[in-house]
Amino acid sequence: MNPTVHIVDDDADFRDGLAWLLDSRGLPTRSWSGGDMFLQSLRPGNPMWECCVVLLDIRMEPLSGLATFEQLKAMGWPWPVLFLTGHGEMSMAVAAVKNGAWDFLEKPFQNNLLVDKVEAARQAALALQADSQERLLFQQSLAALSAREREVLDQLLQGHYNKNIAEHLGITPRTVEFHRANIFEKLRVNSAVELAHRMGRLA
Amino acid sequence: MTEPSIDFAVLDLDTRQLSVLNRRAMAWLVGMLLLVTVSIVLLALFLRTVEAQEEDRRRTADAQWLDQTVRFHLRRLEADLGVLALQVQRSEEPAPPALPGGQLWRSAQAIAWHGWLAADRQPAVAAWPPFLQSAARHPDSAEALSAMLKTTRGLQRAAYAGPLPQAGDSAVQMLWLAVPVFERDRFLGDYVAAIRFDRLLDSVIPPWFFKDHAVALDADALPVAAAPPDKPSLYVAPVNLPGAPLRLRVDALNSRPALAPRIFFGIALACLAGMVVALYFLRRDTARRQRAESQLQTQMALRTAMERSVTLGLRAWNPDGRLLYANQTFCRMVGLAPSDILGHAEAMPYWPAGQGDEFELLLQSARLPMAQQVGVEMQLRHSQGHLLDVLAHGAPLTLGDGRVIGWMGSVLDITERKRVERLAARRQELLEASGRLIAVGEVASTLAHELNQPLGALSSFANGLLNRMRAGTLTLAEVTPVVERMERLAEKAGRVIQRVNAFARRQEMSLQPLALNEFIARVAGQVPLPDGLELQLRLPEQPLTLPADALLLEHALHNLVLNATEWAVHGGQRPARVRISLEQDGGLAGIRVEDSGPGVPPEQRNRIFDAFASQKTGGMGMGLSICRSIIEAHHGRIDVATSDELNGAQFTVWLPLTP
Repeated sequence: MNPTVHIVDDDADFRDGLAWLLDSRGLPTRSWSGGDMFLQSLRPGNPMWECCVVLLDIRMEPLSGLATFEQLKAMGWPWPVLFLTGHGEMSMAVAAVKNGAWDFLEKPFQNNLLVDKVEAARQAALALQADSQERLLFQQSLAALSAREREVLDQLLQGHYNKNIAEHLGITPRTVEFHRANIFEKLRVNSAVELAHRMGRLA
Repeated sequence: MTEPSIDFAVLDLDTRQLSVLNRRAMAWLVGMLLLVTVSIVLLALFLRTVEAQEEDRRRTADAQWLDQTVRFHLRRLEADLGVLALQVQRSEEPAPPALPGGQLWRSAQAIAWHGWLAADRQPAVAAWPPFLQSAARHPDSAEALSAMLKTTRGLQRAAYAGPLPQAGDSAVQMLWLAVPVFERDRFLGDYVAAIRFDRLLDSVIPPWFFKDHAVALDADALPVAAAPPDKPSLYVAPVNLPGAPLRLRVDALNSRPALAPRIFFGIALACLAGMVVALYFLRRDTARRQRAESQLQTQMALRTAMERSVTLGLRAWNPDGRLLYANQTFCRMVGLAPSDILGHAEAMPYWPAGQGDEFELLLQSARLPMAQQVGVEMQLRHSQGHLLDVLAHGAPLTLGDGRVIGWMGSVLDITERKRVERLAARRQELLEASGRLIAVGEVASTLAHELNQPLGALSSFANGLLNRMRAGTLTLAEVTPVVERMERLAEKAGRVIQRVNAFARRQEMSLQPLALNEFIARVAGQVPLPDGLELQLRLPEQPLTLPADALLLEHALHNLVLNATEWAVHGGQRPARVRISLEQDGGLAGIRVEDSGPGVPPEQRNRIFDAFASQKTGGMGMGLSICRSIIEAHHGRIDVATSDELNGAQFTVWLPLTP
C-alpha cells in the first residue's frame, strides 16, 4: 500500500520540481495543472479514491486552491489535503486548516522538511484507510447477523445475563448461549467487553 | 428688503390681565364721569339759587327804590299843593308853583287837574268842581274820592285815592291826592289834584329805569314779589300811599341775570368738559398704550424665547467697543456669567492672547462687502481652560437715519465641526495611507508569488538532485535536463525581477478619451487649499479631448497642483496664487501649473524629477519622478520654467492629442 501524492499547481516548473523532489525520496507522485482538472478525474469508483495525499497550491487560476478544497469537501473527500502557500497567504492557509485541511507548506520550503510532512500525511492516510477498512468489515459483519442474533446482541449490550435474556426473548438459556457464540465468532471478538468497545468505536 | 411682519396680536399672552386692567380703568372712568356729572348738576343748582337770590335782591331793591321815588315825588307834590292851597286862602288865583317846583309840574300834563275844594262843598258831590264830578260818576270812584276827602279831614293829613279810571276814558287812570288845609284846627278844605297815573310814572321814574323795565299799574292783583309762572320776569312793587295802596307791576324787560356767576359757571363747565374730553383721550391713549404694551410684552417674551432658543452666541458693542450685551448662549459657550463679561473694556477673560483685538477683527469683517462676508474664524477660551473654535460675524446696528449706534456680533461654535473636519481629514489620511499600504502589500505579494514559484522550483530541483546524489541513485542522463531546467528557472526569476521593476515604473495603462476642461476642474477641486490662497483656472472655450489613463493622469496633475499650493505660500507675494491653464500647441495639449512661490533655481531643474530628490522636509522625493513616469507613459513630456506672471515655478505637461 503506497499512497500517491497528487500535486495540483498551475506552475509547470514548480510542479515538476516538486515531483522530482518527492520522487527522489521514493514517494509516488502525480501532477495536475489545475484544481478543475483534478476534480474532473475524481469519479466515485475511480482508483483516485484510493488512499492518497493532495498538495494544493492556494493561488491558482481559474479555480483557486481554496475553491478546489471546498468542492473536495462537498464530495466527502476523506484523504489529507496540504496547501502550498506563498508569502501573504498564511491567514488563508490557517483558515483552511481550521476548515479541515491537513496542513500547509510555505514556499519557498525547506524541501526535505516538506517531504517529511508529506510523508507524515501519507502515513496518516494509511492509518485512516486501515481504520476505515476495519469499520467497513465490522459493519458488514453486523449486517450479516440474523434478526434473533441482533436481538440477543442488543440485550448483551444492555449488560443482561444469559438467563435474563432468555426470559426477555422467551427462549431457553441454552439457545442464548448458542446465539452468543455465533455473534462473537461473526464479529471476531472474544469477550462482551471487547464487543462493547468495538461497537462504540466502529458502529 | 422688507421683513415679513408677524401679527403679534395672535400671540397676545396676557389678554386676561389686560381685561382686568380694562375693567379697573373703566371703573375709574365711570367714577370720574359720575363725579363730573354730579358736580355739574350741583353747580347748576347752586347757580340757580344764587341767581334767584340775586334776582330777589334786585327786585326788592327795585321795588323799594320805586316806592321811595314815587313817594318822594308825591310828597313833594303834597308840599306844592299845600303851597297852592295857601295861595287860594289868600284869595289868589292858584298857580302852579314856579320853579323850583316838583318834577310832576315840569313833566307834560302829569297833573290833569288841581283845584280847591272847600270844606262846605265837600259832602255833596254835586257841589264838587266839574272834573271831580265827572270822575265821581262811577260809584266806586265816588266812594273812593269821598273816602279820601274824609280821611284828609279826619286824619289831618294828605290822602290819596285811586288810581281811578277817568270818566269816558277808562284807559286813563287817575291818582287823586287831597291835601287838607287847617286853620287853628278848623278844617278849611282840601286842595285836590288828579294825576294821570301813566304820566306820573313817566315823569318820576328816570329813563334808565325804563330802559330795562316796563312799569304799569297792576290790575290783576298779583301777589307781591312773586312772579306768575308764565312770566318769571314780572313782579309787583307796592307803593304805600295813605288811602291808596298802589301796586306797580314791574316787568324786567331784558332781565339779564348777572354775568359773573354765569361766566364762572361756564368756565367751570368748560373745565369739566375739558376734563371729560381729556379723560376720553386719556382713556383712548391708555387703551392704545395698553395694546402697545401688551404687544411689546408679547414681542419681548417672543424675543427672549427666541434669544434663548438660538444656538448662536450674540453680543452687542457700543461704538467704542464696549460690550453692552451678551446672550445666554454666548455665556454658556465661554462658561462665564454675564457680569464677568459686560462692561469690560480691557482684555476679556474669554479672549486668548495673540489673536489681535476681537472688536477690530469684527469691524474689519463687517466692513467687507456683503458678498465677501464669510465671517472670521477665531478661538475663544472657555472658563475651564479649553479652547473653542468659533466663526464670528459682525453687523452694524444702524438707526433709521443711517447712524451707527453700535455693533452686533454673532458667534457660531464650530469646534465640533472643526473636530469632525480634522477627524475626517485624519481618516482620509489613514485611508490613503492604508490604501497605499494595501497597494504596497499587493505589489509585495505579487512580487513574492512571482519569485516564489521559480525559487521554490529551483530549490526543489536542487534538493531532489542532492537527495539522489546522497542516495547514489543519480544517473548522468537525469542530471543534464534537470540542471538545464534549473538554469532556466534562475533566468525566469531574473525576468520576474525585471518585470516587477517595469511594473513599479509603469503600470499597465488603459487609454480612454478624456475631456481636459472637466478633468482639470475636478482635480483642482480636490486639492486642499491653504488659507489665503487663490486658485485660478484658465480653461479654453474649445473643449480638448485626448486619450489618457484618467486615474494615472489625475495622480500626476494632483501631485503638481499640490506641490504648487504648498510652495506658493512660501513666496513673498500676498495673496499667494496658483494658476492652472490649458492651451493647445499644434498636436499637443499643454496643462500648465504656475505658482507665486520661490520657484525652481535653474541649476536644480534637471534634478528635481529624480527619485529621492525632495525639496520638502519629510518628502519622499517620489512625487515628481512618478509624475514624469506617468506623463512619459502617455508619450508626453514635462517642462519646468519660471512663471512670467506669478514669478514662481511653472510646470507644463505636454500631451499628444492623438495616440
